[in-house]
Amino acid sequence: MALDTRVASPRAARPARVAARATSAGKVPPLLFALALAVCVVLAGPLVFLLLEAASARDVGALVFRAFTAELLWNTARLTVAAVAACVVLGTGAAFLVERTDLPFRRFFAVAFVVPLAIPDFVVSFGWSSLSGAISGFWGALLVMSLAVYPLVYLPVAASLRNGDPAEEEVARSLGYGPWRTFLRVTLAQARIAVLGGALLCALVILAEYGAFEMLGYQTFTTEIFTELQVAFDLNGAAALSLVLVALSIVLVAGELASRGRRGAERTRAPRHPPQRHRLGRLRPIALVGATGLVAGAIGVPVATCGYWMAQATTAPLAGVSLASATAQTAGYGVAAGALAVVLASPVALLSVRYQGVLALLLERSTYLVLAVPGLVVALALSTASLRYGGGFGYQSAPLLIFAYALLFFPLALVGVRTSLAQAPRRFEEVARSLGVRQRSVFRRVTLPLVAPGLAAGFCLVFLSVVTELTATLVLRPTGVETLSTQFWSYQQNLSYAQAAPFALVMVGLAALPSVALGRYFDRLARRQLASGAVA
Amino acid sequence: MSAAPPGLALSGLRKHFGSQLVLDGVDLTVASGAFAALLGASGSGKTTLLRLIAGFERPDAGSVAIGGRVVEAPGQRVAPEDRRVGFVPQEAALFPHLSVEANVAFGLPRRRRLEAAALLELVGMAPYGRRMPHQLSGGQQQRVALARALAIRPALVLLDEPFSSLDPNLRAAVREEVGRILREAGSTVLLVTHDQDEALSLADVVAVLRRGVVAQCATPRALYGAPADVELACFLGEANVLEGRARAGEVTTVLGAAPCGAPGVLGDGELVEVLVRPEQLRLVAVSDPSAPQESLAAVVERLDYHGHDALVRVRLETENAAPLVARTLGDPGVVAGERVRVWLDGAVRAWPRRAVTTSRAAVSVQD
Amino acid sequence: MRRSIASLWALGLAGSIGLVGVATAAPSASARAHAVTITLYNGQHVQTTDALVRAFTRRTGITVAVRSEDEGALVNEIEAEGSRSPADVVFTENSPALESLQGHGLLARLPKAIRSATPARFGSPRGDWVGVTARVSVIVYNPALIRATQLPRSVLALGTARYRRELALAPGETDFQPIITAVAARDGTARTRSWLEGMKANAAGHLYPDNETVTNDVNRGLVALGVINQYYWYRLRAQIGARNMHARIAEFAPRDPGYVLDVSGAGVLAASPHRRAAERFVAFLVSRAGQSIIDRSDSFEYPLAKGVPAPTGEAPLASLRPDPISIAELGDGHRAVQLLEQAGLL
Repeated sequence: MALDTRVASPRAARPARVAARATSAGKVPPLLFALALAVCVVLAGPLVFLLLEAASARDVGALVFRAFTAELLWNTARLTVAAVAACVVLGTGAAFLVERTDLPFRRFFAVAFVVPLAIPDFVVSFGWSSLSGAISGFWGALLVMSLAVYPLVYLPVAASLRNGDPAEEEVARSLGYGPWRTFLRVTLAQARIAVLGGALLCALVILAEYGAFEMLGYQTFTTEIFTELQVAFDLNGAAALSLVLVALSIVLVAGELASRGRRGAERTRAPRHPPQRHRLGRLRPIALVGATGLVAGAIGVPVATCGYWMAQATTAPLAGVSLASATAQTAGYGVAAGALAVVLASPVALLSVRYQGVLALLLERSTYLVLAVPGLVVALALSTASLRYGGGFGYQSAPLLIFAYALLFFPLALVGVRTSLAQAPRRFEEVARSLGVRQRSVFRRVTLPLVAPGLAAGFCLVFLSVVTELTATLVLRPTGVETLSTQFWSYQQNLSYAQAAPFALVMVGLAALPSVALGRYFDRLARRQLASGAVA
Repeated sequence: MSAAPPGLALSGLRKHFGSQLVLDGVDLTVASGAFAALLGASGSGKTTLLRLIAGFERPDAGSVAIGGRVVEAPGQRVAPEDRRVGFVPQEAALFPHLSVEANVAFGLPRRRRLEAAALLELVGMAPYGRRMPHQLSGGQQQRVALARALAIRPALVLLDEPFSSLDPNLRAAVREEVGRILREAGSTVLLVTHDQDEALSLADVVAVLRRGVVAQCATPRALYGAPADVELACFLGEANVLEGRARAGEVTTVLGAAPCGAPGVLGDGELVEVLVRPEQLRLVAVSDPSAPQESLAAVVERLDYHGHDALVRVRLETENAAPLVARTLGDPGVVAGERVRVWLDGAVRAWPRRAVTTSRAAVSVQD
Repeated sequence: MRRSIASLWALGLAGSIGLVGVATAAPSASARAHAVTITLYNGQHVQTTDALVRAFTRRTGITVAVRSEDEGALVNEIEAEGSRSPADVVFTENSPALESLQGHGLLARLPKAIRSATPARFGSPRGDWVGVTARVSVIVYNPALIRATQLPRSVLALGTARYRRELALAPGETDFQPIITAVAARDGTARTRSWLEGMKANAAGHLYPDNETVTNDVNRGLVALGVINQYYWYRLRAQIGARNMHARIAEFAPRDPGYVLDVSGAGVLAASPHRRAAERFVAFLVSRAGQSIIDRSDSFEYPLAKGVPAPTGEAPLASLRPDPISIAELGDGHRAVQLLEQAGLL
């Protein structure tokens, strides 16, 4: 008799079919899809216009493919590479010190490292270049951009280090890795995606930067596009040059996406306890000096220089709008643009968070392309399009400017709205409904309170970017209107530093408020996730 | 005959996502006030079924009735908020922006808000009303979620793997307490789980969901003792499946003849598959005189000691013998390599042999 | 479910559009208070324009909305705007910008009374704009880095290796283009291009966005010399005080193409719906009152009206011996831009 004896554990029995995840609901509501698509089409507008414009340029080839372009490309590329590298080192180092070591005054530094986000690059550059004429050219640009832009690396890396799973580090240590090797091989690997994302943002900002380089006398693609417009009166040429920049940026965005996708480093479970802090020991004073130096360079110098110039008496005050009126104007634009951007971002965010699919992902990602287009170019596209196809409708009007802001900073709003929607997964709404609560009330009592802080965060991001925006404002502002940044710029251009300084300071103050609030919001979010993760 | 309508009645529920058929005609009836468990491997469609009952998804076909009221049928639909279904999701899903007390009071009309305190008392969370959800442990969150669901005096309580995220130590205690609370509340309960211990120990009736249909619905005892087929038998606990031959109400296997129950009538001399639960195998040391006559000689291959019991894998000294697993209460008193005597105790279950045997791991003792 | 969220979204959209309205409302309300408002596209320095605009409004009750930008950008804007241009008056730093607009037929013929207020050789040959002020190009140098005797007599020398690493250059400045045109008119395209290439090499590391920076950096001793219009030096002195001035200015040899008189002028847009008011503004610019304001202001440009003296401390306009190139010969500057592009300076 043949023996057929099997002992099967119940868990060994696998289902023949794997059911679809019930939580990702199948069909996308057509209305939502239509709204998201409409928003994306609007965002793609400037890019399409740019293409048309470049296509109709005379001698595009002659303008784009010449030795000078190579020179500009080289200038742009080497500065971007060097400054991004510097930002990665500064941002990651600062984040590590704050999140993972016993650096003194950590809470202060956690805020101080973010504040430079509120200081426009051209104000940092103003601070440094008026300090010493030697701060110019490549090295000046490298110094200024590193100090001005590193928070874009610091923020995501700090968040990633805070949420990183300490278990992985502990395992590495137990496998015989020293603390330094553990940091390099495990901690940094965990933060890799954050570092990459931050570096990408830095690169895009540097590519599109105008004011700071203009002040430092460093020629890049963007400054040349500006010059092309001002001197050669050539919009087609400028559009053609912008396309080179856009192509460069698309390569960067795609590269970042590709390198992110190669290895899914998504954490599968929430950490059970907060990561341990390294003792700095004898390095503590050195770290403190380094951190202080960074804060001094990025905040101290610009603010102190402004203070210095304000204290100087001038013989020839220029007329201009009052500080109060420029502040009110700027704040008004910021509020309106922030609200508009958040509203526009919400269908796209809703689609991508709640109805994950290829189409939703493509739509969402396509909106990031706008990051690749310098603000100046977007502004020009809008103003020219309004003249050429809109019968001058909205030309040089505040609504068009605000719309431009909303377009330019749409990705920032999207980040905020996405984060907030992730805070309100559909199961909360379902539970609420099963408890007998009607749709409308569910939205008011559950969804809105959960989503509101994130919406506010998106709003704040847009607001502070509007406050510090220069180039698009210069092109699109209504005649007679000066914002803080344009008034600062016009005084600065005329070497009226004493008059420029207060505008810079108010601008920094106005932008610093939301950025501090943002820092606190993301901090709380991380803590809450940590706490709820600990019980899961 | 009974006048009371069933607490839950599902009929012909079908649901697919894209090209995947998840539920393929589910029929299930749960008596009013009963505690039912829906047992299925992960991905078997349990959660989908729950969401159909709660009204979060619409079925492609079929109907749902709760307490005699049809809430879902072709051309007929009651909104989730009108179904009076208390839903306790996995991970509790307490509203993070509301305090514990506000969470419990969420579904209550304003004038009944004070009842929240009593409900918190019921689940033993009275001192925690002011806390925020993230300040609670997982077990505490589950109990609050339960209180929140009970607040609306539900006709039906749905529990979606509520204990799977808890520590094993905590799990048994919370499970027992939740069971007690729900029985006291007297509502009809449907618990979804992939853990057969949980289902068997908590529920009055257990339905096994397999490949989109209910494979069997019975009391825990009936399900364990008389599963409908071999696959279910293996799913519901450790099992030795032997080949045998039926004859006059008995089957003969390598272990000898034993009385046998079967779903149908077995023909004389028919080849059958025989389920022998490990606890039906007895073994003693070869020197022990208590071994009955018909016992067989075997060698202990491996011992998995669990304290309250032990799993002993033995191999009969017969030629070509595959290993068998026996469960002993407490210390088996033998060690690996030792010779023992093994025999079968009690009636077994047998099914006509299927044409194709399922390809499962031949021997695997886990846990 | 979906419908209510959609209507909520629509509500949000309406709300933010309302906010846009509020943010927009403030300035236009204040502008409406006045009877007539003209729009000035100002490519001149705000130092020059501000005092003029204020005095004009005080006198006439006509408000002027000023849009200040680089003259190149303004011309580009007007050409893009065409007949829809909101501009009534355009006031530029240099003649080529105005010549370009005139060439596109975007300017209206000015009444003779306005044109004759300043000498005809400083105005449009066709009569569509009028000269308001003039500046003269000079060398700015830092005596600590270069001695006066080592300075070039001709601007052409700045392209030679003699001045390697000593030159500051603002190639994007529209003030620089008339010099290029003058050189090209005298020496031809090929020589001009090699001269520009030589200057580019000499100015490596000191290519600046504007003449303010050139002047400032020469003064700070970062670079030895540059070519500017004289008034940048006077403005910097007014800003930082005479005791902080280390840089000096020197003239090129008489009739050298580097020694160019740049004319700033104003015109009225052909499409302007407020032509009368716009003409009054231009008339004011060249009136004795307007010219005196320029004279006394921190602009340090030469007023062009007869009988108004040069700003204090500057050599009288009549004593200058610039390259005799005419406004018509300076043209719309496109040749200079082409040369700059060919030399890789733009």
